[in-house]
Amino acid sequence: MQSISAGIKRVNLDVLDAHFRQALDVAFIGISTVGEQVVIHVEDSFDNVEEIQRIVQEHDASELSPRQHTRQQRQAAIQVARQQEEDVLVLTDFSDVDPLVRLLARKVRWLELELRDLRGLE
Amino acid sequence: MAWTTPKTWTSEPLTSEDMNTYIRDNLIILKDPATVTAETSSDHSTNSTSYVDVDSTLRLNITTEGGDVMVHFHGSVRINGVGTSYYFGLDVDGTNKGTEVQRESTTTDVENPVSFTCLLELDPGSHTIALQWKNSSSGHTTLLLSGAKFWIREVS
Repeated sequence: MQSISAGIKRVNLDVLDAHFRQALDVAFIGISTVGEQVVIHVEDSFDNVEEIQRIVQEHDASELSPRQHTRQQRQAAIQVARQQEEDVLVLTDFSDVDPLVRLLARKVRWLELELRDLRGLE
Repeated sequence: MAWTTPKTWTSEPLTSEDMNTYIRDNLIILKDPATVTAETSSDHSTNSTSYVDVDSTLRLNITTEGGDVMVHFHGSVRINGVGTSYYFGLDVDGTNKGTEVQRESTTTDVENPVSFTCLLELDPGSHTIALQWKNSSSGHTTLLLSGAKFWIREVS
């Protein structure tokens, strides 16, 4: 294995990793970072250092990987849901419904209170 | 100044030269054993699935008189995902000696302390010992926070 270093100001490892996997295929082993240096680990047989430098130079740290994009969307959805569901469940709203539904409502309310406690909410 | 195997006296006179060689000089070595230390001053990360150096500053040279050296590492680590394991190990004179400590992440982006201490039997002379690490999967990145410490001391 050989390790090739390159200077970089900002790095998004998920994105850079995906670009290297696409370009270098099985020759690519992984990436490490040290401060403003990125270290590309490749198989000994790989000899196209220019390709590595090109990928690093073209790297855009603001780009999101599919996983990061999904996570960002999920976080946004959670924020919206939090605003919509600020109040805890009111059990008296379920006083006239089936006992099993009342039991379910009580369990949901309990979980809601536990989660609010974990998140430090009043 | 090198370690000198202690002399076994029989019936000859006790000379200052022998005292200096076998007692004074050896005590000086025992009081101040070969020691090298390093501390990281920036964050490091990797997603390599093969062992790689954490940093060139954690590749230490030590000259030993012989016997064991004690190696220690501690730091704080976090992984941006669940189910990935990180491994720390040592490269001694160009050969990876396997895993010293391993842990699987059960939560995302939560800092966890990691450490290991081990004894290595080395021949007398100059040695290069490097802290290395790897991931079980390239899908997540392991981050070693600034302030990790790595040291080596000859102990016998």
